[in-house]
Amino acid sequence: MRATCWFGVGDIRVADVPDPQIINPRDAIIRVTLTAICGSDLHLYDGFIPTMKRGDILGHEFMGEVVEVGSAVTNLSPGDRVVVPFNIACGRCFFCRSDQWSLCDNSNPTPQIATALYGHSPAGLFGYSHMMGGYAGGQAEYVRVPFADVGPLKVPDGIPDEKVLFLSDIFPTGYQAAENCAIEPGDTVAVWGCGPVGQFAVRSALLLGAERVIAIDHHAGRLDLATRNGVRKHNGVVETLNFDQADIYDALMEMTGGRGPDRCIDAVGLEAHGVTVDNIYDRMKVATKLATDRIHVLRQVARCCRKGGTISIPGVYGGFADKFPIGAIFEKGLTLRTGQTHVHRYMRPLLERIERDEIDPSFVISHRLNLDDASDAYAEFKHNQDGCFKVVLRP
Amino acid sequence: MNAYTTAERGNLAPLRPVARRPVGRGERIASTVIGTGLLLAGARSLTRGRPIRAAALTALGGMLTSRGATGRCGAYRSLGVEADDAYPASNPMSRHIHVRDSVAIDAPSDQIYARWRDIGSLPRLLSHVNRVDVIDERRSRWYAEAPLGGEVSWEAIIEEDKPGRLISWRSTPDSTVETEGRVEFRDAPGGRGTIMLVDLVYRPPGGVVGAAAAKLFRTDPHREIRDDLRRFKQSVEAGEVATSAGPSARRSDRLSGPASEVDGPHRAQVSEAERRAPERRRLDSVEEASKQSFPASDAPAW
Repeated sequence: MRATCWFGVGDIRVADVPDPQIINPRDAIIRVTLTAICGSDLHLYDGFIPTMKRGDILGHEFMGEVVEVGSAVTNLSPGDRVVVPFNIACGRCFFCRSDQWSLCDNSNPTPQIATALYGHSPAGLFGYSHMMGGYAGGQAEYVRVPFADVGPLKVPDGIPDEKVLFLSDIFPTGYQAAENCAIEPGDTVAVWGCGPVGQFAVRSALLLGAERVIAIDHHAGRLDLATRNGVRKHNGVVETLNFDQADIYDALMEMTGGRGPDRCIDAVGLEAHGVTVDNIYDRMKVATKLATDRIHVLRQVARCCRKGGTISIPGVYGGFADKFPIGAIFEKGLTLRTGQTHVHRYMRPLLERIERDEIDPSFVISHRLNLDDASDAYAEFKHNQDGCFKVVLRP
Repeated sequence: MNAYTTAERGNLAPLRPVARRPVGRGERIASTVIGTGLLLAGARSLTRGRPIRAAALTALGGMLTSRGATGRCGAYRSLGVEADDAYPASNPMSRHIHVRDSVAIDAPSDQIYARWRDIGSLPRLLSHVNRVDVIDERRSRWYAEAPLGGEVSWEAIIEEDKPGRLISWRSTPDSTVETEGRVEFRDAPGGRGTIMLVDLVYRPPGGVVGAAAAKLFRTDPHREIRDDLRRFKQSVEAGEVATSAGPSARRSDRLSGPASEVDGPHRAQVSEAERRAPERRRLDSVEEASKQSFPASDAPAW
């Protein structure tokens, strides 16, 4: 089959590789009909994520048709149309059963590095380095999906792929970010970062009852997008701030009478370095430094947030940070809610919202290409931030 | 291994007494003497203008001296070697391999006990054991890799057997490899399944610990037992052991070559992008990132 493979820094190629096979009874094989490139895929492209191997297949946002199921999968049949969560979860461990799917105990076959770095390993991911399980990703014609009786969501015919693809990652990510804010009636929610996740966070905040959402970025196009293509059935208003033109703290205080936004979402995450480790892992091919996650966004967020408010962090952060604003967080009694998305928790309720026409997630798509264009698409995505927002690929 | 005191472990009773330091007295004296000699040799090398040799001698000398002074050895620790109060320190048999680990499993302790009580099937749970033949209710014969190749075998007798709670066994006195093993099952608080504790001791023949550790376990003993328990937990909870085997983990030489080249009209665009990319990469990527005050939300700003 054809698959998008990582061959080194800045070296993505679409190659012919062996088809995946059923290995465990709870596996299924999916024929991919639509897949997307995520901003976090660019960290792989830039070589900032350790434990990548030449030939690894990328892609963690994908959907398609079931072609084969293992003997223990009874809820899916060949021909079913499914969207697949980007994290892999067994459904039966302590974490899965408490609805914390991105923390599954049993889905990372190589948890040693994450355990060394963090103390424990989170769930395995599709197409995102051997540290996160080494699973082949979905920017390909076929994918092996483990624990298929738990992950994939069946979607009805009649809804186009483009509307439901983002249930795999970015829509639930934005939604969890907003839900983590515990929005109360009348709240003002500020969202830093207007990429695809930020866009969904803005709309989710509206769906969850925010009266006022303030979107912050410096790309005029993204700010404009945040105010358009909205959601139905909400009473909120979206305003924007461009940090190239205004001091964010001053502007937010002016807009809120000095109080500050009640809830703040950091949809920026770590800046440009990717998950960095020092020399814990000797065999990494990319030169590593003792780098830290750069968190000046988080510092600004902590400063701007109203006393007693909430900071919600959908991520991604991977390492350690200098000058963490613990003073502001403590003295103002702020709540921090963080974490990788528990996609399994949100897929069904969000699909229902899509079916009821409350939101059309396809608004984020800027480029529609073929799988064979993947190499160009990555380069374009990296070098043309203004024009290239979200790329979907059809195998 | 961590020798827990009762205070550290709360109300978990210690499985065995706190161990002595693993480097025996005679060995400590030898280490200190040799180490000091090496340190002096290192100092001499330095005065003779041979800094690299001096550094090497000093490093080695420092290691040996500290090993002699403290009685602890990093190399021993990584092999799971520690002292044993059952033998006097002068006896080479006083060093052994000791591995402990615990895992939380979301299943009742009776079920997990039953799995481990099936002694004959333990090779499927412990990767360092090749085969176990059950002789009777309490006796079994075990087979594992021998220190110098081939196979070593011992007979074990179950000493304690408390259903749902504890299984402990010990090798018979005439065994070539002296060994004790113990598996305990405790109810996790809040009804959250079972906490399982594994404790294994091996005293290889002739006290030749290093080679034995390397052979008995295919890798670091702690790591191997940790992996064994993780796979056991997965098989109990998820019904299977997670694997990512498949095209992603393959070597690149198994890919068919020319298919990875882009053809015709795309080639020009790719080269253009590739021509731009190396220049960008020459800039220190961290410096580049520093210049950006604020990237777009989920992609690097450059």
